[in-house]
Amino acid sequence: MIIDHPLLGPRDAAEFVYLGDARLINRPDWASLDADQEFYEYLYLRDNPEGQHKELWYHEQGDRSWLVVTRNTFTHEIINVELAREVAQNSGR
Amino acid sequence: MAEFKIEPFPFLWGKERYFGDNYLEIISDQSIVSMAITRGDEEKFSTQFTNIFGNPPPKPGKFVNSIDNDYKFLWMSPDQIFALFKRENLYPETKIQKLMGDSGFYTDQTDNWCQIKLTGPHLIQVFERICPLDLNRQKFPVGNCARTIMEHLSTIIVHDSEEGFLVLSPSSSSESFLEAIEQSFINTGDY
Repeated sequence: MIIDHPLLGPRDAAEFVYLGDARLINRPDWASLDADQEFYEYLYLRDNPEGQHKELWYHEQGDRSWLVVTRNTFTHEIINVELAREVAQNSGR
Repeated sequence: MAEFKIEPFPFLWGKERYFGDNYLEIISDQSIVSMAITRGDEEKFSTQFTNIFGNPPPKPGKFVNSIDNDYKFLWMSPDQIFALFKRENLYPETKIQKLMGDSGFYTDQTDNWCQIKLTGPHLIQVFERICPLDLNRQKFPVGNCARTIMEHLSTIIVHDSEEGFLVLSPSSSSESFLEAIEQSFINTGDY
């Protein structure tokens, strides 16, 4: 599988480590009134879609950046690759 | 009581070997200093870098030389550059820090890496057996550098001349790294 890194171009998936659901970027506010429920959902609940899924991948044997990879879990087609840093900043984090 | 003086000893020191027209040589006289850019000081760092070394910092996937060719700078990540230059003493980071000031953090990485210089006509065939990166001259021309793997070992590969490559790998596995390259020469030619 080839991941088209936004800065470095196509790189072999062997250079990356897979973490999981990209929603991990959106860590809940510890001071929220519903923090207990929000952290329960953040830590334990995951969707398991057949189709498009946003995932966190770490370029460990490369530039050490975190990427948000949009991948089709059925076909393994990679639809989009973004720097997690930019995804987080664009969402106001 | 005897006084002992401890000095670092370069990994793979003194090893060299010909494989036909290809030549493999260990580089032992080159310091490596990590330049980590302070968050928020990117512009200050870039301006200072350009003023001191005569060229702007390297772009992703590239390296640049200083205008006097005394330094080579490898892009490692969005906020890290490796500086390579001739070894003068045991504290190369102080030289860079004096030049660059407080716009970054500078650490000596020399002992963490082995450095191997390879020249010759058959290097692409040797590397394509053990490295997932496309090193074809159109895709990876002179001026490119990349952090990747060879076999399972972390590698930095620098296409620093038309004649060959400089490759770096962690010193702790340097013997295995050298063996992987030598074995790939043997597998791809009658050496």
